[in-house]
Amino acid sequence: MAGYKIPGHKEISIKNEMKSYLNPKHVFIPLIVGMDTEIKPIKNINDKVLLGEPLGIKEGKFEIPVLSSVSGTIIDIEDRPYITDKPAKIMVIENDFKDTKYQPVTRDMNNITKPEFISILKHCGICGMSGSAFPTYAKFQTDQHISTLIINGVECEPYLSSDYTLMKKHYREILEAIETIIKINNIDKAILAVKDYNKDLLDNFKKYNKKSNIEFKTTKNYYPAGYKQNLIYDLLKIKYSRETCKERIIVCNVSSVFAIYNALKYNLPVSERIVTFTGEALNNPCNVQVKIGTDVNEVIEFLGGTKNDNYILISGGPMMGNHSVDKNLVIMPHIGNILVKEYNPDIPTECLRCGKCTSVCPAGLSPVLIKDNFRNKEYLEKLEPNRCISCGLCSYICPAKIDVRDKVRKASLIVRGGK
Amino acid sequence: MNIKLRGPFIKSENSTSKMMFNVTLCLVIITLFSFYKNGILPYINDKTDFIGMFYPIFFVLTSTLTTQITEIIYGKIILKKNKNELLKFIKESYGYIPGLFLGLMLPINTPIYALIFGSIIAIIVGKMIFGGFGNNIFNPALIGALFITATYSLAISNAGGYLNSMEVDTITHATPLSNVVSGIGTYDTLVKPYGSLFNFFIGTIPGAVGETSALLCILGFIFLTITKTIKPRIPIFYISTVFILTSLIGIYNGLGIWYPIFQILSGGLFFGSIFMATDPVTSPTTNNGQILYGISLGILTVTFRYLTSYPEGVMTSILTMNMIVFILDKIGATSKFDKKKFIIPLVLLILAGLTISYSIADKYKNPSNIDIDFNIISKDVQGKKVKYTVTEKGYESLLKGVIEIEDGKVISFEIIEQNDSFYKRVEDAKYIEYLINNQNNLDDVDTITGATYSSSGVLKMLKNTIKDYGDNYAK
Repeated sequence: MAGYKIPGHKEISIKNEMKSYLNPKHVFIPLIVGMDTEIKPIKNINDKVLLGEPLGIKEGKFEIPVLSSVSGTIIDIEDRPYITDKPAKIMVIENDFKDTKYQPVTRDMNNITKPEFISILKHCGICGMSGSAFPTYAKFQTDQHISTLIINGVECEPYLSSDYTLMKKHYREILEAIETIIKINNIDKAILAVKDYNKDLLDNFKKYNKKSNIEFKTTKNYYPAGYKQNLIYDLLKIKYSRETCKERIIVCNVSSVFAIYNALKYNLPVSERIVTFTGEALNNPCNVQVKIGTDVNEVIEFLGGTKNDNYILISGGPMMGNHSVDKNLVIMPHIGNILVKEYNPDIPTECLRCGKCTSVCPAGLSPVLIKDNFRNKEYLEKLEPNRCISCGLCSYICPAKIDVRDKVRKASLIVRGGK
Repeated sequence: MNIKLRGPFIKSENSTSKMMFNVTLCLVIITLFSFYKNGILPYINDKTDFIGMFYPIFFVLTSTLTTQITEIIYGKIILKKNKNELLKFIKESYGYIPGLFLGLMLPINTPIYALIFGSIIAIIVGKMIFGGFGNNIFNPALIGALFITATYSLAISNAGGYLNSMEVDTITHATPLSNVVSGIGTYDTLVKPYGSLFNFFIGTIPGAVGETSALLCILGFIFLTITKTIKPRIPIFYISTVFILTSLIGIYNGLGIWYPIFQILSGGLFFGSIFMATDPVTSPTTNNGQILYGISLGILTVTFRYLTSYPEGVMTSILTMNMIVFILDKIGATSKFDKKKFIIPLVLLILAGLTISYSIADKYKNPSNIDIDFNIISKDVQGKKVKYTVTEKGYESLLKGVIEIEDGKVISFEIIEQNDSFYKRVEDAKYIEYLINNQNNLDDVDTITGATYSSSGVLKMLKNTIKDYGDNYAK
């Protein structure tokens, strides 16, 4: 599948020991799921909340609650733009440092039925943890037979190493969760995939694994190897699309699988996660176990600060992550990486039509033609800009330093607007 | 930082300026080879003086500087750029590159004024009126070269054409491919006059200033592919297509593997396909489009070489294909979602290629018995002695000749009317006497350098007349 090998820079964060920052004074929980800011708050200022108690609910087709990551008191509800450009409510909770749980249970994972499974994932607010924040239960809520579960440990964006760190530390829990998920959902087989240079990671899994229908595979080192269509093609050699395939293949990020484990076993939401704090501007880049809702600047301070003030904060990886304009960035469940780096955008020059964007595009687009045919809508539609997966490879590769992805995004707006 | 920056927040190391530097580096090395071949070698062999040795470098520098200066003047006067804009324009427009190409793809004897004119045309007509760097449809250097060859071909031929001061003494034909015009040829007529295929490979054969060395072009191809500067599919498919089609033509005519190798190593195919057909601005951006582009170029080049009087073909092929790049890109882009849209044109192209190579092969194997350019105006028959008055096409005029044959032997031959530019060379070479003396093996005689078409017309006239005598009066 199309893609391109880009420098990994993972050693920056892996070379240092993982640290913990689990007792922030305050946590800030944005009522945001994915890009959706229309979350109905169900708690108010001065309400006491427990760890795992719902603070708001996203209603509609993919209903999912937003939960508290600590126990304590809501002291403020800010209303301001956050990550997305639309204003969102942010619950500020004063931590009582007791971590009193909302509905503590310890379940026997062998006796969970599929409806229970769906319901637990829903009430624990488990969403995709690799960036999309799509409610995980919705993936499993299908009448179709699920043939394969792919656990994505590829972590193809540069700089990121939080999934790597998680797999090193919690391989037993991840394996147990995989066994449970395929048993409950009657899935034929599961494949855990990592990049080829991380194949040592699989040794622990293999040693501990007793099931024959759980496989461990590696993918080549390129970006975006973790893109669903690429991953399915690399592992199974089939060109998958939900419309054309009778059997369902589900891809889950490895962090999400670990979250499913905590939800099934202890009824816990994602209240903490491993986040890679990395980038050339940080003094001590490393992976950090942090509470959801922690102010990123507190963690950066805790890690020893930055080399100078001339840096930008990016939530997510360098390819698909977002620049945070105000520095009041907080950790959310789907943010596995905070990139702190100096960045001086190059000034774009004239496109020389080298075609590199076209040859690397994993979605099979021809960005240079899309860019040239803004006015020719009929042709533009044939170029199908809405297939773009926003991976950013076209902008990365462009020798003229043009933000090609943004042009494709605009083109897909033009095409969509016309329908 | 209060402005929201858009990612990606890392960028590849590659840049337009690096790509242009890589291309320039290759062209400079090729210029140095030309300096060796067209300057140092003739100097060592006492064919030119010390100043003359540097002529190849002076030649290439002239066009390079002319295009760059033209662009600066155009930017200053027509585009009315201020000083800072002009500096940015110069930095990002790479105005010297078309000139560098132009200098390398022309015959060394191109008059300097023609070279300067062509360079100016290349920049203004080929590049600037389309909107400058990145917007031109045609390769600017090729536009300049087309202008020069169309306007100054006489002047170039008069000055000695492709041959440098050393080659002019030892080689009878302008370039190896010009031999193909008068027949499919043999190893002895196509390759031997220039040494061996090894000479073709390293580039010590007559040809344009910088396009003769296949070896250097291949090294350039490897370098530009590794540094991700060019679109490697284009030269691969271009050269392969020429190789396959000429192999078929060669096999059909009983020629060995040397024949397709000779064909791909001649006429600047390597230089044109690797450096010019891959010009990013004027070639397709999609992978499938590049494949179709390469194959089409190959078919066109073979067609031009055999079926027209422009034996080199590479330059014309690229300019022709420049016009339909947008169609190939459309096929390339939409075929990514629907393979059929690529397979159908591909199959059509392959069929076209096979058909063309078959008809060329057949034409040379069974040359048509009727030469439509040959006409018998009158025959004066006196027993076994026939006096013919005949006409045959020359270079730009009709040649009229009187030939007397008695008992199957040519006893006199005279051209009584002609208006060809280079006919004097036929006279100077005493070509007619030569033909009369060699009348029994006319298939082995050569044509004359610098008057290929005139001499070949004379030859054909004689051959056709002898044939007519044989058909009608020999028995």
